[in-house]
Amino acid sequence: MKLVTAIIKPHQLDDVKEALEMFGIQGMTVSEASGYGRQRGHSEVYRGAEYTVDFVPKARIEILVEDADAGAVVEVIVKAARTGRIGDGKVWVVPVDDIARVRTGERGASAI
Amino acid sequence: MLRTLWSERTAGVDQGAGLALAAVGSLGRGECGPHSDLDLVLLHRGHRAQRTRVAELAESLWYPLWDGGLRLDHSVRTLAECREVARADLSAAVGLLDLSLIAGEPDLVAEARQALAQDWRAHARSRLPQLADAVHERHRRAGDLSQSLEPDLKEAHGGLRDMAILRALTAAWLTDRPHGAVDTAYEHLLDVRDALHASTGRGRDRLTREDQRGVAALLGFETPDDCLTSVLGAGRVLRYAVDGTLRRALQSQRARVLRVGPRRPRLDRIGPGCALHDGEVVLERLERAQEPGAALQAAGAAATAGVRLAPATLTALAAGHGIRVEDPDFRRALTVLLASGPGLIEVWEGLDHAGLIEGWFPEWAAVRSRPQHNPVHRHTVDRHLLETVVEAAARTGEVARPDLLLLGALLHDIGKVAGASDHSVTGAVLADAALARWGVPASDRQVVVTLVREHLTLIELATRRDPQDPATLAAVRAAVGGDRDVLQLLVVLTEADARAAGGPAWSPWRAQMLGRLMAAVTAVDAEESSGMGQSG
Repeated sequence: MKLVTAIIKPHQLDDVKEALEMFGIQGMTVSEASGYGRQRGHSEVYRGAEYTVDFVPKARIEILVEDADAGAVVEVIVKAARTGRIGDGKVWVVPVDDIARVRTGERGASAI
Repeated sequence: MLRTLWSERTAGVDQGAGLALAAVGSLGRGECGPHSDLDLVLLHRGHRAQRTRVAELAESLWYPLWDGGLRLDHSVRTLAECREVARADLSAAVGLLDLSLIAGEPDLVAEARQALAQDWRAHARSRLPQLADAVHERHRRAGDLSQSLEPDLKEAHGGLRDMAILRALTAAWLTDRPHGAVDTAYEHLLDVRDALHASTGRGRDRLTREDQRGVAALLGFETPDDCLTSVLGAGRVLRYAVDGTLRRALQSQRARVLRVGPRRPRLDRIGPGCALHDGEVVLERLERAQEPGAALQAAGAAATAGVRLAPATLTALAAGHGIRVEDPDFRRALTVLLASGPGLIEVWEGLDHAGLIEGWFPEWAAVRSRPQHNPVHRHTVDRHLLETVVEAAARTGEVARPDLLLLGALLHDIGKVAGASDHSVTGAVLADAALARWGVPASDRQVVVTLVREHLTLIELATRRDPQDPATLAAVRAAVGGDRDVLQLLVVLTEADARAAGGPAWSPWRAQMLGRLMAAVTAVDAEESSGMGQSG
């Protein structure tokens, strides 16, 4: 089992969600995130004042998948989240030892 | 059942043996729910020779009840012990006021009731601050029933226990309590509590989401939300009653202590024809209630000062001229009231309880106490509208037309009525009708209707669309008809709405997203202005 985590532009979230649902992913966790990569330190003007944006708003997606699906899920996310501009985000995969579904107590892949 | 048990267990005992079985709590008041606890007291005269017999009798009474699976709170006391317990424990003192005979010697219970009531009256003034503290602490712990999606029917602010407080305050002869609507609200909460016990088969007092469907069906409501709306409304009535009655009781205590100097009431003028008296706003002359504009002016003065309108003043205003849109100063006075800040909430609540809102704002009735199941919302629709007005009032310096911002805040969710598929669209229609009734000029009306219709647009675009995409910026402009002043009104309303909804709705993340969108709009505006300047 793997945990796929993606940091993407918030406005790409609907596209990514839709693509993942088409792929067959039934559940995901989405949270608000802020951060920066190579694009750090740009400035914006609002209400007449220029300010530097260190942390750019992002959406964070976390999905538990079976080992065999991990590569394809990453591809789906990358394709749906890509705008071609700086700040499109990152996707990474880490191994998961065990999963438990709280309601039923199921363990392992059947709890995904 | 208890009387039969008593008869069996006391067979052969003299009628004048000085023994009685009495009830306190909900059983004592005759309001016991299907699975409520039984609060029983075995009263006796305390004769030494009787002690062993009393202990045996108690055991023979309590064991069959435990064996029957009933939840029992029990005690064995003499009259002197009852008085001692009431002296030492405030909640016991309030509970013992409900002492009532189930079986045995009626004179013994009557004597106890009389002595306990006399003690309560004698010490009520000195115990009042402690009682008020305990009530406030319970309210803080259990929350506000009128604003809870899973209300605690008993302990919450506006719950059943508050009726016991109202009764205790009147039993102390400190003040009278409101009747009529309060009694109806209380009986409704008792019905809901009984239905909750019946449908769950347990003595629960919290109306959880999963229980709401069963309770609504038992009580004949069409939907669980209709049932919940009625519960929250009843809690609102009880909350207002207990707050006002407790305040009145504390005022009566102060009046008794401060006896030095002239006995005339002290009135400090705080607005045209109205004055501050003992922490509330009153009319300087009662006849002023007949004058146009008096109600809104007094309400504005009270809300600005952060105090309530006195109940007698509200009654006089409701019986007098009331609030009418035909009054020449209606719109200006309404703006003053809406701009008053946090004091608006309680003053509006008072106006609503006195029936002074619906006459000029009938749309209010459909959102009153209406629950919201969106997880970002912490208040009912009506309260959220007022909280948004308060948030907007703190930001009027950021817009060219504060009056339109406040009207937009008051009306932005007025379309959250039963059956509305898109509350922004429904709200725009309802808002237009209300504004026309209030005599708002057509051009201003159009701005407020735009605010109502588009109040979710900016946050939707900011969080779901690319701020660098020209189509996103075009959508922003289209929403406000290209008017920068309207856009600024919409930005401030968006923030006020989100802040009023609760923490997650206005996270730093969302604030930043909106900031980025507005920065993109500003940048494009600046580019276009500069381009026009060069071409000109």
